Amino acid sequence: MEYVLKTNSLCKHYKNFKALNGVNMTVPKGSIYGFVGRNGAGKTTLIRLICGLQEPTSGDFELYGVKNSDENISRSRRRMGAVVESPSLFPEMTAGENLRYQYRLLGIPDFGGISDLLKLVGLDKTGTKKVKDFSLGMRQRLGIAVALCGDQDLLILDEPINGLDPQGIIEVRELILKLNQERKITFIISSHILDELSKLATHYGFIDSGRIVREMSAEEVESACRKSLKVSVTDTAALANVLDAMDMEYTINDDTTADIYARPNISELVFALADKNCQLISCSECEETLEGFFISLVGGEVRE
Amino acid sequence: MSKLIHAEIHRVLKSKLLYILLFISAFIGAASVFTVSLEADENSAVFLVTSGNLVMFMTMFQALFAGGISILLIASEFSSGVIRNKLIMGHKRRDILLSWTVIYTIVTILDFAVIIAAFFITLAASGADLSGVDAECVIGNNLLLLLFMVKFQMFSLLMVCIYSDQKTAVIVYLLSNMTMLPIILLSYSGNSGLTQFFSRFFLGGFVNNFSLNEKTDKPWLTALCLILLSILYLYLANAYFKKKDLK
Repeated sequence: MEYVLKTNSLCKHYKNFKALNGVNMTVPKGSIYGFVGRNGAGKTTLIRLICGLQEPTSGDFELYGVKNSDENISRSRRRMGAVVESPSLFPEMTAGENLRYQYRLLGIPDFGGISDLLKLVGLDKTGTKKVKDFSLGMRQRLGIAVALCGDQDLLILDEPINGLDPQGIIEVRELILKLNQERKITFIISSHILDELSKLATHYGFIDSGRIVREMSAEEVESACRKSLKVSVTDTAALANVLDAMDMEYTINDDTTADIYARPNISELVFALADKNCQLISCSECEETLEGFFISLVGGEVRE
Repeated sequence: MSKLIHAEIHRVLKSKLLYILLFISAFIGAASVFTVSLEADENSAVFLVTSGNLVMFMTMFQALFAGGISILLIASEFSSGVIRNKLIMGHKRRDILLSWTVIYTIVTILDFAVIIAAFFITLAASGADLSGVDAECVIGNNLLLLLFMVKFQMFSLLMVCIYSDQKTAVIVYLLSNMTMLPIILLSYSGNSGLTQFFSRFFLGGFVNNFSLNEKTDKPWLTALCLILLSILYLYLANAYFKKKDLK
């Protein structure tokens, strides 16, 4: 698998506070990488390091195979766009003027692509309206358009739906999916709004207290979170035989419990188990949300 | 760096602040003539460029004001977060700082040219006799004044690199300059070698009696002092900016 970003024991300390404490993460090319963590977990700090806004205390990272200590990291960064916390825009300028400024910074002499970009983010009819008069959703979309100037193939979005109304959230989500599918842009999206992230992400990185707790693909997370029937029996070997005969998917957790990923006829199950001298002690339906899964990973205690 | 300069020039040219600065400079330049003309009797032109010259005195305040405007313009990049875009797209911090240095030095030259042009044009238009003016001396002293203004710009750049917040940077910039006032007065009135040396860093001290028409003592030394101080400010600005954690 090809990776656009790899971090190696990345640390960032502010005096006595360890914002990042040995982060190791890998972002596959073409993925939408959901970067999940509580407020203060270290998401934004990591993004700032990758974007070159801050220097790591120790550790390193590779962007498109170029180390952050390499002189050519600037060249790699040219392939990347980012919206860190809030969109970086001049409020006194119009959407078009902000994009022209960005084009000049990139040294693109032809402004022909600006109208396409504005159309892409649905801001082609804003005319002479200044950014300061834009809604939060419009600003967010313009921020993404600015990050897209220069045909970037990696976009980093830090909390892109924070503060947006439902309509704005849908607009941003559709835009991200469109860009990922049509332009094959890799996304790193940090968020603590997990329900929304689960509609987009193909890969996840769970961060807590400055460490990556776990990295998983969306399939793995889905499998961990999917609806199941948790059963408790006296003999899981017998249960496995019965479920195999019923052609049902399951996982055996231990000697007495198992998860069945289907809805068996309970009477049939009980009789079949009885034939094998096994008793069904209890059964309960469970469906773990991404939120629940995250809490189970990092622990649910409230921290100050 | 050319891309940074190109983008920034377009932004500065579109900024209202630049035109407010130039308008005030033109007003100061022109108003200096009328203010002193009222007091002068016969040869007001020579009087204007020789003694009690308001244009020189006002240049000091204008330099301070221009520095403040630069802080507002540069700090707006920090407050809007646009500085992040520059770094994310791979521009080096040193290049960003140098692009500001180039642009705001150009703004200073433009601003100074407006003050002096407004002054001399108004002087000529008022029918004053300029024959008694020593052109070489006036040009030399104007160049020193320009270096003095550039020094203010470099100081404002340093302030932005330390305090990226607009309000804090402007307040600290003004307060720091005000605390220099006693030093200026001391260096202007003192006669020792040390005070004379210090006077070269300040307007009041290096041009005799605020006169544009009188030769300055060792102008090369004054120019060197101002250039070295500007470089020191720039060096410190680079050191701060290089290590600055941006949000």
